[in-house]
Amino acid sequence: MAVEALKVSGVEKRFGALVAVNGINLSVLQGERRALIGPNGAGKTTFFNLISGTLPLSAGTIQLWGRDVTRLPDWRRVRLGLARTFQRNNLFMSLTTFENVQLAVQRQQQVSYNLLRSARSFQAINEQAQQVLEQVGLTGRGELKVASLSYGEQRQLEIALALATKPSILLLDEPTAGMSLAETGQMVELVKSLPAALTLLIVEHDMDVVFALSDRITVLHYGQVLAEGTPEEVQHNPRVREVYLGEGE
Amino acid sequence: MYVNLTPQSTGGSLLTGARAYARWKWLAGGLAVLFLITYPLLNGQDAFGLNLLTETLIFALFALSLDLLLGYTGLVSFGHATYFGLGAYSAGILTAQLKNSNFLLGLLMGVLVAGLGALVLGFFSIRTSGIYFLMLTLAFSQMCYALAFKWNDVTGGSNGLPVPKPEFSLVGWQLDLGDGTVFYFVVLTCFLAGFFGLRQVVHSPFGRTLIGIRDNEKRLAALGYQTSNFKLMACVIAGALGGLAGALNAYHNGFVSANEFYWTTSGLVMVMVLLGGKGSLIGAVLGAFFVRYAEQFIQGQQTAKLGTFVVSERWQMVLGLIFILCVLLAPGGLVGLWQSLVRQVTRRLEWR
Ligand SMILES: Nc1ncnc2c1ncn2[C@@H]1O[C@H](COP(=O)(O)OP(=O)(O)OP(=O)(O)O)[C@@H](O)[C@H]1O
Ligand SMILES: [Mg+2]
Repeated sequence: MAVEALKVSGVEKRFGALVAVNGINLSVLQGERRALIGPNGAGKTTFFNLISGTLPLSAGTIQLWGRDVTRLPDWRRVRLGLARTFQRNNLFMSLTTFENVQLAVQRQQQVSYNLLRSARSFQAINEQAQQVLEQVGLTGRGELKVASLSYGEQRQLEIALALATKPSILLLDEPTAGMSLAETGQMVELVKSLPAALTLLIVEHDMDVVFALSDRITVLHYGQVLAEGTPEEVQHNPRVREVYLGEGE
Repeated sequence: MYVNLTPQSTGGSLLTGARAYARWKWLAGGLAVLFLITYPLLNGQDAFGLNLLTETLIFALFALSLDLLLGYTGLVSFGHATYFGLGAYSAGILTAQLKNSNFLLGLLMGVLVAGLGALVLGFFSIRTSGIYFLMLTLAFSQMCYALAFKWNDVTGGSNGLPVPKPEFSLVGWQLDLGDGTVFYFVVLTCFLAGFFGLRQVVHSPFGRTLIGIRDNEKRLAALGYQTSNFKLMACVIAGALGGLAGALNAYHNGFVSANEFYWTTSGLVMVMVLLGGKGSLIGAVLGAFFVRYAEQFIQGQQTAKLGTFVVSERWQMVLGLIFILCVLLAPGGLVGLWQSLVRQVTRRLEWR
């Protein structure tokens, strides 16, 4: 029987009078590829913020592998294997691409408190950082400042940082937003190449990407789960067609 | 909030520029150290000049310690005088009240007490950020000021505390600290140790983490970092170094007063760091030298007048003007100016 990697029960988030997330229940199995879709403002990013611990929740509980993490700070959840990317690039702008990844890797290899050696001198960190850059397709861009990368490359670096923490659950918030067609294709290949045991939640507006990557889809609408099922089921769900897929038709 | 000084141009010239800059840096640094070592040997008679240089090095050390917080970690501490004062009073009280004239013990006390103070005060202040951090650190330093001012029996209150000449002895090795040249070399040693020690720290994984906090603390937490630990450690290191500077200053002046804690001391060292260029160790040092020597120069211009305005009596005002100009025109400070100059030159050369 498959293990439940993430279980969310009755989660709510209020911003003053606005209920951004309104009682979501969700269960994701280990190794599952789950897409979260929904119109703008449906609460997808807010929901990710609650799972990752970036924002405190107003009600409900969150479990990782059966362990209650509802009150754990974000950095502790990372150490339990949860990593995320951000919808808007969220990088270390005064460092180079390579140094950005190094920063993620040095924490994962637990040498961040070392004061006495040069950060560049850790062979194991350099190798892993180089490997992650290769994985996301940024080989050869390592010495550049983040600010001189293209937008698409910054998106790739965003994913590199998350992968460098060696996650077992990965939350991707619109990884292909703002990417060219070619870059989107590369991103899909990258996500497909991730280990099968990795549990993946992906928020994405590009339906081609969603159908290419996901085993199951959850549709959010006004902070609630509108529908959930296989891509096939969701595609033919009349309510989903009405509020989301049918938009603009 | 960090102002990025590096060019956003194409990759190639950016890299060559950086390499050329690194070469310059080593050459200039070597010459500067050579100058500092030979200065008293070449200017043996100039007690005033040596005195000024000694004091400048002490303040440079103080500015370096602030830069770790302000420039590298992005913590805008407006109460750095707290650690200068704690270091100064530790050395002063040890020497004047406890009648222990051991110089090295005094320095050690200064470092330990200021480091401990930073641990306690940092514990509270890092819970806040931005303007609140600034106000809280300022409030702590003003509390220390009030305490030093009022606590007559220990601190000498408003009279301050005269600090007799200390003695230096280490396993039979004795130095006469009353000799200005000897004292200068002791200060120079502390300065260089502080500079190269901090250099090591800012290039270490720990230092990288501090830069990460300055750039984007939230993202660092999303990578699994417990950032408050790093901020607290940065406070303790900065506090301890500030304490060393304070203790040296107490011995140098032979006097400690509550002014060491006053907000103007915090303001002065902050102006040094910002004028020199925050987030750069060289910048902090240049800033300290610039402020001290510009002060000397302007106060020497006895005849310069603008109407009834005697320039030499208005040093604070002149410094304020320079500071405003710097913030407006060269937010990267002296180091930022220098970097853009080097960049322009290398770009010209490449075009040929
Ligand atoms: N920090 C906040 N404070 C107040 N309101 C917020 C905050 N964050 C999000 N909201 C509101 O909550 C609702 C859900 O926002 P959220 O960003 O989660 O939507 P989303 O599904 O990710 O949308 P998109 O597809 O545009 O990214 C929106 O109405 C938004 O304005
Ligand atoms: Mg969103």
